[in-house]
Amino acid sequence: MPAKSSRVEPQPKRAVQPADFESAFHSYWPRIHALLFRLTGDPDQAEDLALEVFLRLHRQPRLLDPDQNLSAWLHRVAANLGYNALRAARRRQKYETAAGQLDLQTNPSPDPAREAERTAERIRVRRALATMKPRDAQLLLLRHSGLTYAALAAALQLNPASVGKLLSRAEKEFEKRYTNMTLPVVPNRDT
Amino acid sequence: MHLTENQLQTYFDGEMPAPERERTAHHLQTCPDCQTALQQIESRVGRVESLLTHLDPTLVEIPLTPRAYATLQQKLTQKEPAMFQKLFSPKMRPVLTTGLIIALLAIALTVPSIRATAVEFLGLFRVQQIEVVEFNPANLPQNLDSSLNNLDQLIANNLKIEESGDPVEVTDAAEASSLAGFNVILPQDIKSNSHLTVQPETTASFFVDLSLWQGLLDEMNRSDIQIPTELDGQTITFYADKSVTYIAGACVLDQEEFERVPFEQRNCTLLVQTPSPTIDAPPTLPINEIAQAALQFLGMSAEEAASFSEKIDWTTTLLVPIPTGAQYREVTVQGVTGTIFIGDYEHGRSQATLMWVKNGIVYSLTAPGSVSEILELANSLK
Repeated sequence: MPAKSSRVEPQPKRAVQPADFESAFHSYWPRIHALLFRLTGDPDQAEDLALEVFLRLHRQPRLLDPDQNLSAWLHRVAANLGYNALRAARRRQKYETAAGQLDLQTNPSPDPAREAERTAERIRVRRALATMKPRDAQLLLLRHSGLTYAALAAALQLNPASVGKLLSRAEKEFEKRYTNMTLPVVPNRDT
Repeated sequence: MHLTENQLQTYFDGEMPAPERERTAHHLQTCPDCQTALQQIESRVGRVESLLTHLDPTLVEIPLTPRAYATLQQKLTQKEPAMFQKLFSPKMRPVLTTGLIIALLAIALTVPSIRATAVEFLGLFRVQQIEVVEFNPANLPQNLDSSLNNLDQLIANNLKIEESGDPVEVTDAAEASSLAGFNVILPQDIKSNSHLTVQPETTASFFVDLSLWQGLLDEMNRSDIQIPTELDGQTITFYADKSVTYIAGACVLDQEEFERVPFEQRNCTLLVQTPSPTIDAPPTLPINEIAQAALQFLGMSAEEAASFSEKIDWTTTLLVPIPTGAQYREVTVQGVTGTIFIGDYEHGRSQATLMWVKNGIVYSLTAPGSVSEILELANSLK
């Protein structure tokens, strides 16, 4: 490889300021966890992935500097991790469904039929998201999580002026895929 | 003139700055088409929102912040083994073959090094020579370590390894040769504490989900690197024939454990020989472009990567990336040209790895000693 003419100066290492890190954790944990829950549908997996996001933050104390867009970074990493998990789950579900072994997480509920319907609906929404382009799926979920256009643009590295158009297209794409999605097989005791 | 989709959505979402918002509101009053379009957006946003609301967690499902913080503190105090340590941990059996395949797979996926022959549907690739590319670790993405965990997950989800049987321990070169199906060469004086093993044939299939790789690059702030889209959804399959490993001395494959061994006691000799693994991939695989993406990742500019890539015959070359400053040189070994990578010198001792390819067999010899001692050992193999 040709030698670079300018040397990269070593960055002075800044120690993690425990107070900065802790306050960042407290401000962002509920949002980051909720985002990952929406993507995975599994509280334990969402917690593991959310913890992973903050472990990564801990390894990069520079992100806590005031000039860094911490919120954008956290949402970007969480959206990526969550989307990867969603995709992986979708591939697993493919053969699980084929084998008729779709295991519904049944919570104790006063109305099991309604609960099963809700679970099926959740699965269908997630599958529709899993078939979309990652950026589109992430855009929808981050908007649903309450990010402004400016925050969306920063998190997903988009041109702020085109967020409206991209959201509009992502919504159409989602509706199309959701509508075409076959309903997940819900095991029925009567058959 | 009608309002654009972008304007309408931005207006509806309440994200339009004041002066433009007023102009838009004014225009809407006089434009029935725009009003209809706005109503469509309104009902679509409502439908999508209500569907996405199904995914929202209930209060029970959100772990309380203080408890989550305590869990995090606990995790921070445990040292997580790095990906490569996990891959090479004793639990990963059989370590050597799998490790070799994954290493080759990783190298080939990023920098393929392989030759396409005209097979009707599949390209068949074979290693014939080894080339070194230097990279400056300072130019790698800053958060590479944390992203490797992601890579770990990605590989675990997409890699399937099948072995044809169990490793078989053998006693001499003749037995190894007949079992492995090629002529095995060994040191003249086989150490009493050595293990000679024939490793099973291995097939490793890797499914490429491009969005996951691109996401990884985004996270590393290298969105500028584009992996060729033709790779998406492809399955790349590695076939490794039986390989033979010869291990003598104290060999520890766990990196962390290895670093605790005093330097003067690191007397591990490791010889791996295997027919060149072959790779099945679609004939349309844009090798040159994949190679350029990988070279950019290693710190080259797009132009440097393109011009470097031109000079390499990717079809036959196994590319070994090594950090700038690491010592290596070409040497003659067993009558062919090989490359020796020289490790750290300490207490007058060194360890080096010598790689060469002869008659379709890839050899890798790692041993303690000076360059001339290792070369002497390599040339004495029979």
